[in-house]
Amino acid sequence: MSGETNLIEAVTRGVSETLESMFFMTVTDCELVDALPSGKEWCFFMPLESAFSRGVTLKLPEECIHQMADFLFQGQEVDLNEVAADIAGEFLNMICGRMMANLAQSSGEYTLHLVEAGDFDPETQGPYKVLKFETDESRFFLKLLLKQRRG
Amino acid sequence: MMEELWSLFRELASMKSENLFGAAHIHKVMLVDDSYTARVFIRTCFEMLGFGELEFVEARHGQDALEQLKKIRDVDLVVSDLNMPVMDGFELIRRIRTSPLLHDTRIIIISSASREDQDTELMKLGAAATLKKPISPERLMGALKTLKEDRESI
Repeated sequence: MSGETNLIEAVTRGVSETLESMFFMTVTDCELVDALPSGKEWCFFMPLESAFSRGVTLKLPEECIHQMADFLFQGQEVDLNEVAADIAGEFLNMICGRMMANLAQSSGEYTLHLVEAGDFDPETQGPYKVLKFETDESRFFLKLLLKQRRG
Repeated sequence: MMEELWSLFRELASMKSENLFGAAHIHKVMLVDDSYTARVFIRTCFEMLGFGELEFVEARHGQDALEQLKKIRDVDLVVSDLNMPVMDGFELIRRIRTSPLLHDTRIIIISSASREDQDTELMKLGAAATLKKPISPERLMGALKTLKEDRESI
């Protein structure tokens, strides 16, 4: 299997593991698509130093974050607008951690950096893959920036 | 429905973990993570295990944790993230282990990116256990049992 296939499998598993553990949510469908949606949605980027990937972008609608927050903070008084970025940032952090752990045998040395938030799509230069995930009530996208192949 | 499931889980976990904290002499726990979400989630895991009666204090990074630990003094267990701004988990363990006031504080490290060599280094530095994010009540229980066994072997 190619490194690219391994990476996609690792991130798909990472998303399922994180959603189920943290939010009791299930991935109902996952497919490769051409690009991230162009609409104004929340966007987060995790810079990565690894053999296969340069980073991962998470793009998701506000209602998806609110759904996660409703589960995580049930019964607690929190300002969802204040914690929304923190929830999505931690979600991406965990996905990347699980992805690299799932690649453990072949990934070699790797470093995760701190998640960056903002309405942007960083580092569009170079190869990438975009995955669309659907859950029972929402959907979100992950863009995997791939390492440039030499030669 | 979810509330009922949680309630059932808490009840079962509480039965399984009876006297765990009493045996490990843990009453006050510090949660260290730059993410509020992560701190809430770890605390929820403790509560799901039936340990909601523990006292929790929170810190946003290693430096914040050290400053609070020196003031509070009676924290029995630190549960810390590894990758944090200002001061990371590695430095936090080093500082705790070299502090005359804090050196015997027990520490569990929770990290997103956990490799075997990294875990070995953390254990050498003095972590009682390491866990990978996202943690679960079951995994947390495993780490807490290690603390209890360590205490019993003294």
